[in-house]
Amino acid sequence: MVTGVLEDATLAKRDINLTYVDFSSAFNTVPHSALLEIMRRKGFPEDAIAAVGAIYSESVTSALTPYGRTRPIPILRGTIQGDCLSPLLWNIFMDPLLRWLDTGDRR
Amino acid sequence: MHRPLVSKVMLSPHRKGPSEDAARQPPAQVRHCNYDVQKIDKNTEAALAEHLASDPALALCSADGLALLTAETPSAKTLGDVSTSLVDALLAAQRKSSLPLVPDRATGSRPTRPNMSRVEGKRHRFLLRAAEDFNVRAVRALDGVPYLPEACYFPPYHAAVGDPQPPVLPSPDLDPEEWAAAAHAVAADYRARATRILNHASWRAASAGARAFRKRLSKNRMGTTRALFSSGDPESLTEVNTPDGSTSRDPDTVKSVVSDYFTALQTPDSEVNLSTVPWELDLDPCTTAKPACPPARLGNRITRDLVATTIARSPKRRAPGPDGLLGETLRCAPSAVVDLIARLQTEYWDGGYLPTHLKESVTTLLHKKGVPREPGNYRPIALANTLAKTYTMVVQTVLSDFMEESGMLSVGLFATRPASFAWSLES
Repeated sequence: MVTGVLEDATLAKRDINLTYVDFSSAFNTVPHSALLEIMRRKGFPEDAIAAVGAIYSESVTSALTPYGRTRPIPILRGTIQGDCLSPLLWNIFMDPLLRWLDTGDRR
Repeated sequence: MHRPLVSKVMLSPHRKGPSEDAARQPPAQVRHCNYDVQKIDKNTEAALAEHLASDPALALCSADGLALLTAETPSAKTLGDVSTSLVDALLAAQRKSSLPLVPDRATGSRPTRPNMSRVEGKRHRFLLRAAEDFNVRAVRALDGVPYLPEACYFPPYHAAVGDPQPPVLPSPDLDPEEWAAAAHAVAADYRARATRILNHASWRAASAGARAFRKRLSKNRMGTTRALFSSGDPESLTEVNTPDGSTSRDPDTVKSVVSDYFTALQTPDSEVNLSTVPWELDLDPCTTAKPACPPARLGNRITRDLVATTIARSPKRRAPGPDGLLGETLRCAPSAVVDLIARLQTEYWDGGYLPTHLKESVTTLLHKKGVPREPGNYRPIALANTLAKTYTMVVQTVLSDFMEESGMLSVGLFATRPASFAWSLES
């Protein structure tokens, strides 16, 4: 996709600025309440919000050290690393920022 | 920019002496998930499916569960009980099956001797024994024991091993000293031949290894170089930096430091309350992107077909979650179990509920960079239970379908979206 944009810019002889943003520990820092609120505002049906909330409420993990498992660690924020739902929820979480950059005269 | 790899290896801070390495070895009994499932072929898969289908406990459990769920609107406790007993039945069936569980690949032994063929090994052994024999005879000849006729004490070694050139034997006409010297010379000759066989075998093993290495190098340059220059075992968190600045190796301290680190990481600094954030109404990035007429509920999209497809896609050869249920078992589960799982997942969604045992996971820590004593230098990977993974895959499919069809995501967002999205922009 980026290649296509670059080709267009070259053909049209226009300048182009690319920004790569690498969020540090992105998946770890999503607050659950904010995620659910964004889902609500974006118009997800209530049962979908409840289902996603149920997956993340009171979820615990325990880290595996060479000496065995640690005590249960509650996951109070952030999505679960390695879960296939995480990228999708991250997209939902990031979308308002992208819209905000796109709307208004903030370009 | 370019740094020679060798200097990197020599400067590596994690290299320790052998004694320290031995001390760093964790106790053996705490290894978790230290088994691996061999790649299972079609026949094994069919056998496993047959085994699961004929398991009476599993059939009983799935029938009971379905009956319990359809009889009344199930409470949270019923749901939890049904799914726990399903996991137990599946686990029991998995344990009884003949899945080819093999020990961890890391524990496999490596051949230390050069790999000699059977004939070569025999020749090597015989030559060494002949050399020994001649040395003994030489000493005896010096002691005055008269040497016997050749055929009596000299076993035909060269005939036994098919030696093409029989050694020149010392003549019986010599005096004892000369005879002994000649016998020693023959022994040395035999010994040299044995060494030559051994050297040849090691050379062949080495060149076969080099050939294999060159082959790997031509296929996967980066991976082979890394494997060659990596520091043996992966780093593990056997000692940690404690908050007061010292390092500790005490098991309880290590555990508490690690759990404190991840607890702090996963606890928000302050509660975010988005409902009070004064967003400008006309520019509210969320409300402007609302779908025109959203469906009232998405729960009816969890069909048996969707669940069956997801179960058929559940990955093979992955480490299981804390309950130990393997993806292979779930793939081969009989259709009654799939019915029950589909039914359970509909209830989870409708009730906004997930049983506690599906919300547990084990987080493994893979060393990422830097000092191995810092928990922050490890990449946490959560191993969730297989049933929970299936449920989140179903939820992911439902939500992502809904979002794509209502055009909810910004067109500027490309990360982790289905490939069909990129194609739709092209046209």
